[in-house]
Amino acid sequence: MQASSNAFGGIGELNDVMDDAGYRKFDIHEGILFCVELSETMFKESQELDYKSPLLEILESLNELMSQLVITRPGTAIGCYFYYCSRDDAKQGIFEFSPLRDINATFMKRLNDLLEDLSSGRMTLYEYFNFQPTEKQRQMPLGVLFTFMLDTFLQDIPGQRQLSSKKVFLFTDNDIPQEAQDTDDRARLRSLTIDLFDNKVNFSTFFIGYANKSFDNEFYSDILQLGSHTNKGVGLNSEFDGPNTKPINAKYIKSKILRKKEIKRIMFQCPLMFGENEDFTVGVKGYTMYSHEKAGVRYKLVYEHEDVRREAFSKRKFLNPMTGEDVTSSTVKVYPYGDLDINFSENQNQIVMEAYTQKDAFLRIIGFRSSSKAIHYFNNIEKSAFIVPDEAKYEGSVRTLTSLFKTLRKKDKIAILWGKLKTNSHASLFVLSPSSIKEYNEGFYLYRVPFLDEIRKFPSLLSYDNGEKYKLDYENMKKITQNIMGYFNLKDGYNPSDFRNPSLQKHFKVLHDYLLQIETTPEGNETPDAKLNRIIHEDDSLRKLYHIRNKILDSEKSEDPAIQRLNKYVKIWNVFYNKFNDDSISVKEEKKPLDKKPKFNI
Amino acid sequence: MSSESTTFIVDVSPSMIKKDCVFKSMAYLEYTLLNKSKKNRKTDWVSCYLANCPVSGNSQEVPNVFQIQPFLAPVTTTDTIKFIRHLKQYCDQHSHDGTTEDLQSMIQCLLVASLDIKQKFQARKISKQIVVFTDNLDELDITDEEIEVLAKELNARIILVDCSKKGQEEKKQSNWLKLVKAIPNSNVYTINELLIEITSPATSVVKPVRVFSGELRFGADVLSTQTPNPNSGIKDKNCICIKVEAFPATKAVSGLNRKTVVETEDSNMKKKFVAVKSIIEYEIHSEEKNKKANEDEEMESSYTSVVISKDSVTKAYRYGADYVVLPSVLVDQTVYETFPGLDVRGFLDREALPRYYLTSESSFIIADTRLGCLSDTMAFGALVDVMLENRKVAVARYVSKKDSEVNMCALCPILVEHADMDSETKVVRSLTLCRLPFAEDERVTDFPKLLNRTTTSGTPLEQETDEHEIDELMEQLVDSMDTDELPAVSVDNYYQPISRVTADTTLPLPFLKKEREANKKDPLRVPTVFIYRQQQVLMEWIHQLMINDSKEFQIPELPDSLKEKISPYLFKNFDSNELVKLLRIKKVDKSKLSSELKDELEREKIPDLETLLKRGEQDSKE
Repeated sequence: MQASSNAFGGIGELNDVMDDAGYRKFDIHEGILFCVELSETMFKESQELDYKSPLLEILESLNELMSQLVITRPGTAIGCYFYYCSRDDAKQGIFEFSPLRDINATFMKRLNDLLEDLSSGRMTLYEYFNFQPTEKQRQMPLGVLFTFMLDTFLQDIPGQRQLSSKKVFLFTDNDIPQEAQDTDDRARLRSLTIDLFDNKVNFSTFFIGYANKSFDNEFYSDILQLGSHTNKGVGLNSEFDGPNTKPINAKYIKSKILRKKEIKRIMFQCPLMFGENEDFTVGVKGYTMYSHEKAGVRYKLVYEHEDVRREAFSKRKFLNPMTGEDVTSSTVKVYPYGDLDINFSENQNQIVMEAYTQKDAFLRIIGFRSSSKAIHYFNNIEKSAFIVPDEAKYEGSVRTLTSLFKTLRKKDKIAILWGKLKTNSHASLFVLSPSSIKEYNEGFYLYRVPFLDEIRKFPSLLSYDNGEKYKLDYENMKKITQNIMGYFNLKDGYNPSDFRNPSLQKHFKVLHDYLLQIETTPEGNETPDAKLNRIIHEDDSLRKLYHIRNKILDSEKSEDPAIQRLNKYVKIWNVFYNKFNDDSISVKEEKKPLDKKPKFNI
Repeated sequence: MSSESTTFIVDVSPSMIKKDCVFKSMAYLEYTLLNKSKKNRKTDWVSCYLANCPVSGNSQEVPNVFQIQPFLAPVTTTDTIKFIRHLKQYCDQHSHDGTTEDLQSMIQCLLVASLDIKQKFQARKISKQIVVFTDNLDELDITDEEIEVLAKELNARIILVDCSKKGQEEKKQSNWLKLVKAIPNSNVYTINELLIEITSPATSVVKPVRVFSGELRFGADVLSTQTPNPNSGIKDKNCICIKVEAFPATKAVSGLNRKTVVETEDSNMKKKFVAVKSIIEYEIHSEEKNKKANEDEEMESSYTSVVISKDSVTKAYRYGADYVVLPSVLVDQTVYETFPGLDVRGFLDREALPRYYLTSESSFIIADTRLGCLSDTMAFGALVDVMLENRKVAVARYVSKKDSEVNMCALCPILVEHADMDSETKVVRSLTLCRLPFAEDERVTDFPKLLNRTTTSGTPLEQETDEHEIDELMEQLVDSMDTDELPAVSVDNYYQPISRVTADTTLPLPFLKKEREANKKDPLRVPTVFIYRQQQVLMEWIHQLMINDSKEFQIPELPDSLKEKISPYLFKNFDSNELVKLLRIKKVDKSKLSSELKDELEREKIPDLETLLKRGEQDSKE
């Protein structure tokens, strides 16, 4: 088999050909540059990290970040550099672990291999980075690093699109570098920072502090923040003054990496009107917070014939059924009504629409209502959107929505909205609900309310007997159910990050293993134990179910009577269940009217 | 729905014509038939007679009975147009000739209609009905015995549409009403009730389709549930297992599909639309090198394409920057093998589950009364009751079919009211199932705060000085548009059982009036406006252009009741201008910003170089 399995040889070279201008606008090309300082403490096991070194934590987080991004945002570029490094291949003290390129299997493998070598003890981080703690490492001025960052972001990489979002993840636990003492050095770094800002490079800082050695951010605030001392009276439009330089505890490295990776992708932008008063219009932006990733939806078509492998394109064509003539360019869209076809002009379509909607996206508040009357858990129909003010089109949007936010929270109300989020969608009803006090983000959730036609009818049952004749048994069944439920209360609620999608993971694992030519063992003839072990590892949800099973089984052997009771409850539940699981009470044999195949749909 | 035959009888006596009642009946007929023509059912028959009519023409050669439309099925739009035009022509002719002669032929008409029905359908099993439009409820001059005979003879139920303006009391003695009473399932409506019915947005009734049938489990053995062997949990004493099934609860609808056609001329030079055949073609592109190698985007579309065979096209899946063509053996392996089931992962307080975690349409989970026993209904009912009483929701792993996607779901308890055989109100216990996000679905990111606002570096921004005043006015605004006085459809009635809304006929009759009234008041229950609008306009187009021969199409207005539902609700008067002033809302002049610059600004709020330099200078001065 051919070693290079990339369908087209080059890395992402087809990206450019495919993208047309309209698409590119929405497909933000993001680049994240990891810049990690190699200080003595970065190699040392840290108490905060369960005796892992911060450096290893960063590498592992990078690995996790890449395996997430390859699924959710495969077009992201990631680079990783270590500075103050004395490896032979480091240039001016900067070691390129992986260049800033779109995520690809080769670099993921390099990182993966390193992590494996480290965990198996074949190599240590000291060896890998050729780090000698005694030696004086810090010959390289920080200015070199800052210039290097800018050059890296600005370099033209063949086959790779320009970056539209540029981020530096700066990792250090060294709060007073040599430059800190010198005012000229500081001024020079400040101007380099402005250069970076001017080229739209953003910083996410990872200033790591430890229990026994806190991180003083005085130096970095000074060089990375604009006029941090002169901010009073700053208007609403000048929120930008550089990154937050607050140090973090080492144990938050991973969560901050995974959180800061997300760029904000606008789902829609539109005016929000308050009632009939046309002057009372502000701007809002909506973001998708939770989507539904599916496997196998990102692909290109390939033409394979003998030795030729080329990208293929599909094209829809319309033919006249009588003549076979290609009529793609002269088709008309009509409304079929029975055997009649009705054609409206553009103008007529427009007037028809204007009765209830507008051409572009819009939202209009048409009322307010108590949350308890409007927000239900049983009638969801779509994913929600997160709404924040948008000052770009209407000044005062922040002021307005802040006040609305406070008011709705205080009164426990929601707003009822009529509108649409995209030009080509139908207008519908929404409710807008302020985020709760428990959440970090402050904004509104927008939920679509189903139309009457979207609320389906409840099916007919074959039997409506719910055992009312056996009141005592039913009450007992309830008691036991409640007792069992008590053992399985999810104290931390549901955390999406605890459950990777096994279907997605499987799809990408096959691609990954094939790309890197990793041998896999066939699943067919494994032992039950091996299978169990495999499935609870590849499927987080099955692992949790496995724990539940064990909790029930183990409780039988427990010495604690409270725990022991769990198993008893489950067994009693089954006694009750079996009492009524009798064919004589069963309704199995009856023919359910619903089962009749309808000849005609309503 | 079973076979159905509807015979319409329109009383065309002078008083019916004069009072516009024939016209109103025609509106009902037009609506009803156009509705039928959309469905195009081969077993939905219609026919129509004119009673008390100066013209005669029918199978029995009875005078003053005119069969204007013989039995027809399926009803097509063209047929409907032809029929209604015919009827209209008749009315136009007779509305001016001023005949005052009373021609009594209603009973004869009923008998002719009945004979024709018998002749047509003989012993076929078909639901038969006669719809009579008349304003003369005293017309039937028959004795009680004759009513009995007639009731037997007709062998069709009667829908009497009263076009008179008489009150309930006056009608009581009418022979017509006695007849209606004597025939099972017959009914009386007023013409106005029917007109309201056809102008109000109707909701479609979709038959529930089972989307899952299997086990609701808790504590089941993982290894045995992950095998193709069903029924594994029922016998296991260490787990809870209930037989359940699932049906859709909410499902998004799309508008009417537009058909892609091409306009052609037939042999008579008449223009008509012909549906096109859609095909997918595959091609490869070769770039043309003859253009000078300009770096600009000018040469974007300069390629020649070659059509290739579909058989040599495969998919290259994206993996980061790489695209992978998998050998066919591996393609099958990319599908994660799954087995149907609903496994509960645990329970939590409803408040502990953020509402925004729900990301999909919802389904009902109910105890399986088809494959299950009373034990399943009782165990499931107990589970739902306990969850309701403790305000709990459950998290579960759900696979609906073999090898379909795994989903983590929220299960929320709900009661659904239904009237049982003895029309006693009861509830059915159910759960609704809705998808929860996986790790890969999270797009959570940090947004700037609304309260206690800061700059990007974390420095607090100054508070608004008139904040208090703004908030006070905002509260007044919220109060002025408060809808809490409007009643909500109760939670138990949010979903309606199909049995309650299924009619035995496709005729638009006002039998769901109560539900409609309840929906009308609840501001969160809105008819599907865009679908209603499309229907309304299409029907109106047919009415104006095809039936009334208008030259130009006057697009109708949206009905007020619907317009109201989607317009701002006014509870109290409130002038928001003062608030607008305090908020200093100003539209940003779009022309000043190029679109690209705007996008950039959108993405990162970074000021221009000058501002930055200025700040930098300030900084170094300190």
